Amino acid sequence: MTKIESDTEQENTSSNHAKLSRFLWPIIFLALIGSVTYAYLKPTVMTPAQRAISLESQVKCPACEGQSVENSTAAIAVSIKAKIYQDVLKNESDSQILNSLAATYGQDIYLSPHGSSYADLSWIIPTVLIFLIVMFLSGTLLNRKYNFISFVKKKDLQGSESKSKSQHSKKLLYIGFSLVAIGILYFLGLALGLNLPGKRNTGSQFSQTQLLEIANFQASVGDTAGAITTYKEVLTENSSNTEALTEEGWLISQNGTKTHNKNYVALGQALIEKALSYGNDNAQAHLYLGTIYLLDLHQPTLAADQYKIFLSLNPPQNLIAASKPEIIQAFTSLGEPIPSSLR
Amino acid sequence: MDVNIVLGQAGIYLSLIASLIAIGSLVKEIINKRSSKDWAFSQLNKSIKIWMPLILIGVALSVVSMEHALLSHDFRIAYVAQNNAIQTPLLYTIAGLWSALAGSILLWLFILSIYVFLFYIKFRRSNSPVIIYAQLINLIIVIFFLFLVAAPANPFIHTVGAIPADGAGPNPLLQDNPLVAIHPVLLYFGLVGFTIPFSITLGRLFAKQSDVSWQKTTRFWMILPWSCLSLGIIMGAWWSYEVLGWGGFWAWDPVENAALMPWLTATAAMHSGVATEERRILKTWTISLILVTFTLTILGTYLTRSGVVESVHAFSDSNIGIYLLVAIVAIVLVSLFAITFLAPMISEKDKAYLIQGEVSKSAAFVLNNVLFLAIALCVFVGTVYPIIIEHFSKTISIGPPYYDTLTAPFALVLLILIAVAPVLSYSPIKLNALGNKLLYPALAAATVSVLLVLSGFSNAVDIITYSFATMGIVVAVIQLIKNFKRSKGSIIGTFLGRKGGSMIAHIGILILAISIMSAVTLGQRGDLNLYKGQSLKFDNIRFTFLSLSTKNNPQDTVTNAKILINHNGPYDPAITIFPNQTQGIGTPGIYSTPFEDVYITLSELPSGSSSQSIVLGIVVQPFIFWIWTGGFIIFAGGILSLIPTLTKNRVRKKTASKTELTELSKIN
Amino acid sequence: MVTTDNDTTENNGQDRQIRISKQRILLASTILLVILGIIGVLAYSPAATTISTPSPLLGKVAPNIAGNSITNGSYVSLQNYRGKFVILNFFASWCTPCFDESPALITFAYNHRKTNNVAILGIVFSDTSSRASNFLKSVGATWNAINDQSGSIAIKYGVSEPPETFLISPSGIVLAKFIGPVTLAGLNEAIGRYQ
Repeated sequence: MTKIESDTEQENTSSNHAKLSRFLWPIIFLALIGSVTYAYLKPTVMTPAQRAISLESQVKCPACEGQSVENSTAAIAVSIKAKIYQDVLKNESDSQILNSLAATYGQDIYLSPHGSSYADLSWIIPTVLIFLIVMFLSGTLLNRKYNFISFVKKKDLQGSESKSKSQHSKKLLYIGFSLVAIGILYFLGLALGLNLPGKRNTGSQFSQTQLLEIANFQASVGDTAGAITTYKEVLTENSSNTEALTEEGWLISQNGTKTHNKNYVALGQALIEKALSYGNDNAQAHLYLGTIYLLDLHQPTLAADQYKIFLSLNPPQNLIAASKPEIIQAFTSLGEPIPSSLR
Repeated sequence: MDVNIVLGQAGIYLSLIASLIAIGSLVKEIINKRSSKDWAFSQLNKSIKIWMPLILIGVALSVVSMEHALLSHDFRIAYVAQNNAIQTPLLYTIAGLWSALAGSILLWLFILSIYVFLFYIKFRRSNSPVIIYAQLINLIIVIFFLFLVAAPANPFIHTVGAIPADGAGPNPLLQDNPLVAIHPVLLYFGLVGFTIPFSITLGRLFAKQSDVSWQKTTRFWMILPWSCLSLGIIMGAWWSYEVLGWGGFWAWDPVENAALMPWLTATAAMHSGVATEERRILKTWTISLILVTFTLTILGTYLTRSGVVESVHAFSDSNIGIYLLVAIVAIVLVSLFAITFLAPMISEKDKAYLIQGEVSKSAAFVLNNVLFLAIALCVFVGTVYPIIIEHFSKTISIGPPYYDTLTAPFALVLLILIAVAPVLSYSPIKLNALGNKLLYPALAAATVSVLLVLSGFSNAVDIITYSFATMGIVVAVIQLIKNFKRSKGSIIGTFLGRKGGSMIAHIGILILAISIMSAVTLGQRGDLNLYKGQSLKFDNIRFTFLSLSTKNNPQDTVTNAKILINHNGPYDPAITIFPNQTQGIGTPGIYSTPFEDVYITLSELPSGSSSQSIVLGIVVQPFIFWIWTGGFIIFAGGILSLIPTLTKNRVRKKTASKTELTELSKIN
Repeated sequence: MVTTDNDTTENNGQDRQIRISKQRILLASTILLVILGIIGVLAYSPAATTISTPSPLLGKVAPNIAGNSITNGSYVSLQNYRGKFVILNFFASWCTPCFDESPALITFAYNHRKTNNVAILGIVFSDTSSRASNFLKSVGATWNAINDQSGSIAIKYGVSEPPETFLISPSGIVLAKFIGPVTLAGLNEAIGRYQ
């Protein structure tokens, strides 16, 4: 008796419910889809440290039992972490960084296997098997004349029913549903960061020259950190921009000199050397490199070599004038004659 | 002669004899009765009445002797000498039983005989042939493990040569944290427990009993092991978090996977089992899942105990691998035979027992099964494939990135399913009706998603997880409120039984999903270079390095730093270096609150003791506390659903669902 | 839970005659074959620890190494060793197997002192220069060693843990890699193959 009462009560509420429902569901869908899409499209900038950690988690620690470099404190893992971080700061691409490790440790340093047919099979096998399971189960489920997974033939159960139009329209509905499902899965894959076609690229609104100007300005007013970030932004677009590489390297090495951190000096040096590897006629780079050798690394011989190349490239006078004392210091400490262009 | 060895061995042989006799009488009975049509076994239980308790007593005797040997540091036993030392604390001395291979098999056997004995007690008055077959299969499995303990993995072997004055002590990783005493036992109660559903199911097939009430019995015997396994896996994760020093809790390590695979298939089986019970559908399918679950537990035992995989959790190389493989072959042959030739005899051929509608409870169970199975399959391939490939002298590593990529899409769909499925009923439901039922939960999800975006979240997967987990929790709470109304305000009726317990377990799983996602995507990692007395900030948390001390013990060297985290502590992360080991073992310091865990480790030993500077590894992760809590809630859900609700409620529910059906047909 | 009394069940399947379809048997036997195949492979699997990938550097030009020797401070470069076989030995003072393998290396160097066609170059792995040079003195080694403070040389050579040793040809090609302590026989065998 109480049963019936509660049922009528439910019916009343459910009719109110239905009105509310018609009004609220579109909003709910909009909110959910909107917020997920917004979050997905919102550009995310990974800091170098975050990028380094994500790379570390993809590499096996060679001295451990199946741990990733990220999770290990073994000596070699610490070294690999440092190398990855430096490579990230040098703006090398993910695949460049990982490939350089695989070149000396072998392909099995990757924790997600790739690079051989054996590795590809490890992805293909589960995918195919899951596909088979889904086909098998959805086939038996959607085509209701099949008894579930017991292999009863269609005709045993079909009886005299003939296919009606509604069944055809239902089939269309299934096709629609599966297309939507595939779409959702694809979107999920993208959201998970898989390399599917259509992957979003974050680009900046400024042109490279504009960015370089901004960076040079930042450097000139003493905003070193800002300048380094802007140079990096240039380099994410074009990793072989020699000007950005040179200037960033110089700023980083200067930073290292100030904070007495040899790693930064070495990193700055590496960046400048990388710039030189794209073209040996970069006078500015040779000048910076010479100064680093002279003042930070105390190797006047190497410094003088760099200065000689610098002078041979007919640099603008203001550049020579700015670094005159260092160049003279390098030559005199070696007892070599001071080149005529300096006098 | 050593009393412990004598009693231990005697216990094993006592059980061996008792189980052989019991098997003999069971087989005799089956042969006698099979020819006649009379399947009443009233006499049988009398004949095994003495032997069943004796099996348990024998095994218990040898477990007690092993524990006694460990507690009395009886180094005349090689196992004790290798896994115990006079200095070993009491807790780890007791845990010594399962800290190495031979002892762990003994514990497995002990738990197995407890389950088998409980099963016997429960059904001692039953005269069903299913029970007879099930008892027989139980006993055969017991015999197999008795054989392992008696021969290849015998823990009661006398020390060769001179008896050492002190033992080697357990593996240093195993005497770091009390969780090591709990989590293996829970795991074994889980994994071993799947033996009973396996034997009931096979018994059912051999006896050709199509009655679905057997399915109910099977599921009942699955819930306890499933709950223990769930909690055991989470406690294992907690142990790795507390001990291994990298701030994570799950590494997709082969040994972790070995426990996860049966959990996944068991979870699938428990869901499809409900559909079988209530609608007689998915019969063969559920049976197959139960058989697969048991096979996977033995496969897991093989993987962890044969030395084929590299893992921090694996037992050392041993010679029991080949016996376990033989066992797997036998299980697979019997299971496949049963599914192929016997299952059709009990499956329903009637049209009434087909899946009805695509938006229905049965369809949701099928989708649930597809997803769980897909995840299990990925884990299986990822675990076994590298071993197979090594055979062709290639090596590949399969690690977290592989599993994350393959399983994450399925896990997300599963999350959406858990938020929708509990409101479905077996009869097809119209979309408006579904819309009405899900209105408030979906409203909650939408609110959460908008709030997250407004507060600056930029990870789409995070937003999907949080919104649908919230929706799932609201759905589960609404179901609980319905239970409450239905049981007329009785708290007992709300939470007990399958309907109550399963919703509690769902809430646990969803809390787990939220907290794992938060820890993984919102965690911060970094290093701080600290001089003594220095205080630096990382992620707005202040770390102060107070002091460093190094203790040279005879067996190891421990370097200990005292660190203040904000104003709490001091916490003392340490590095322990053992001779003959290149790598030190780090012990983390953990500052834990329900909102956030701060996890610190000593990354590098100071070069030269004078310098007094350290590199502190820091991991800051939110909601870690809720991962462990989620584990306990899942366990509680399982246990609650074991306790049956009052029969009155059950009757009322049946009428309720009938009226529901008629109501629906009216709407249609 | 209820104990069931199944004797009276109408569906008691004993008398039912069911034809098992061919598809079903086919599927079952396919699954059986796959599982038996996997188990067969597992049965013959070696233990996990015995397997290591061959170094991808074998047969390639050895990456250059240069730096100051910790033994006498002189500038050392791998290129200056062209024309000789080079035994490149990664070691550390804290590594016990490195201590164990040192007699083999010393004897090997001594055996080739007359032909002067073999040089040993040590690379210090994760250790301080002073401890490493003391280690070399204590075992009686006189060869040059470079401290690889940042671990970059180890990474260039794909080294995981000391001791690891490379044999480099007079033309600068990596000929062999030894993981773990080397033995005199092993070194002789490897160098004999290329002489």
